[in-house]
Amino acid sequence: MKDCYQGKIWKFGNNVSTDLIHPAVYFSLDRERVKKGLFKGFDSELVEKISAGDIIVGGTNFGCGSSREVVVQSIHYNNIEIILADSFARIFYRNCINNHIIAVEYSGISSFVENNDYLSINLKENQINNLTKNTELVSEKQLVDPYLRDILEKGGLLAKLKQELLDGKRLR
Amino acid sequence: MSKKTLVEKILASASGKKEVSPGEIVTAKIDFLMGHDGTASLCIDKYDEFKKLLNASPVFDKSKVLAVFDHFCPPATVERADIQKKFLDFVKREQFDYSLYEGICHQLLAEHPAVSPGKVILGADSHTVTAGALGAFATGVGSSDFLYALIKGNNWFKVPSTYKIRFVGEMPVYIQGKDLALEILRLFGESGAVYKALEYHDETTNKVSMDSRLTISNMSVETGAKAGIFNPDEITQKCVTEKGGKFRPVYADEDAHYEKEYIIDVSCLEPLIALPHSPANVKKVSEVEGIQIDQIYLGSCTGGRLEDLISAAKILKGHQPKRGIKIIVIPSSRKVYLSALQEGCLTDLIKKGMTISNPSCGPCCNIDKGLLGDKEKAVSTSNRNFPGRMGSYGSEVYLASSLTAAASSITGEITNPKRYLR
Repeated sequence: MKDCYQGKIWKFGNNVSTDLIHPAVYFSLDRERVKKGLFKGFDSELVEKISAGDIIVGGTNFGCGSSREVVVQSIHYNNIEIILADSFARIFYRNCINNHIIAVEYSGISSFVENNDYLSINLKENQINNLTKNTELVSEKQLVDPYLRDILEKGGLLAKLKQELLDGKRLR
Repeated sequence: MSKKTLVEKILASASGKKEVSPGEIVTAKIDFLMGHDGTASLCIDKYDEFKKLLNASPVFDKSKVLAVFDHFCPPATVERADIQKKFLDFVKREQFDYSLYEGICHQLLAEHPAVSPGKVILGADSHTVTAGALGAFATGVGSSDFLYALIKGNNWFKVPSTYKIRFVGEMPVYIQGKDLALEILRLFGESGAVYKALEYHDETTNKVSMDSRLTISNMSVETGAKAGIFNPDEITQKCVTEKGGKFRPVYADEDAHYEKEYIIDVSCLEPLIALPHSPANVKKVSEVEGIQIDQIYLGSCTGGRLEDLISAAKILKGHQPKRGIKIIVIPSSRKVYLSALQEGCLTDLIKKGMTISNPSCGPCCNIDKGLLGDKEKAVSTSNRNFPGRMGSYGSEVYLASSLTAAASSITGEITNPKRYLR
């Protein structure tokens, strides 16, 4: 996990459901199929335009709907590392953290940006800079909760589990 | 010690703490864990990795786990058949308790003796909140959380703050749990209760039935809530003891601190309907009567219970469904199916020309057994109507109670069930 993330943003509105982010028809155990399905509910060509390191910014209740983890896996396979939103739907939030995608909840972030702006996020200083508009946000509280930072730093929930099991084994 | 809400009490007990507060992240023990063929199948390769690492079965307690086959039920494509075979082979190999085509996971949990007040229930499905009707803290998670809980027997939870919702008055004959659920969605919207626990208190004079409570808890997740839990009472006790469970109730403290409190007088409610494309786009049925529809779907973990089938048969007594309207009925479990046959209502629906399918998720989430084509409209007793939820992105889904769905089947248009009830 880095201290700083920078990239072009793709902005979405409020109550964006998992059915739009990754339609159920793209549910699969095949990585390429899962990767292909990203944002197909919005625009069938959007996934082709996404580059590694791009950032997602959503409004309120981003990722509402299903608990399908393929939705978040698809984001990961498309090399998006960080998502910001005014608020997240809770299962989607969990799925992000658990799958090593940094989910930053910050009320007002969506009105701070326009589609395709360039953003820089400093998780150590808790600061967000809109490089296109030359504006800055400083958060009073930590952008990422320390308990959850631990999961992210270990590479996700299952990587953390693996370490816990190995530590348990060594202790015996 | 301060007064606490139901979820605060349950999570404190499960995490071994004297008390917990909203916003706190705790590690809570899981009492029962459920996964199904639609989501848990993603875990298999990872599970095998952990098994190899430990050189032993990694599961925390097999008696507390249930694998359900309800989504691809039976599989309608080769890809799904392959996914299911992998999952079925896996559960057999690892000797998990499993339900093969016995019903929808949330209905099976409601029928399971292990699901009772005070328990922590985790499921790899967003509608796991349904079990909250029995006074349990029940919430849905993704596959990784499921696998973590399967192995560790616990998981991380951010303690939600609670909204208290009191139902008062007398339930009219034309109102069901679905109407109460839609009223809550009308009040909160899709994001009005994000990360909250909704704590329901049934103070009505004629009591909301357990089938209706399951519907209310089920749709809590559509407001963004983490849990939709009923304070236990004699209805809970009857249900738990009848299914062979142990009734050890946990009650919310009097004067617990709630972030917000609401009172809903059920006597004043009118039948409600959620218009495309949001479960929170709620209007009175009377305001949208006359919209022509192509399909009725009576089923799902939201509206496929015995009460729903009996209600539909009651409305249809002395009437026929409109010819040319597709009507699909899917009882939510084998138990419901058999009870409905025994009671007679299912036979009545068959005689009226309705299509009955095996207990499964079906068309609710675009799987099978009745998807909608472009420009088709359906009235459904299920829980979501986002674009493309039940088929084509050009189709429209109206969410309503089984009474409203049945009434609409007679006219072929959205119809107020009050027209058919005294």
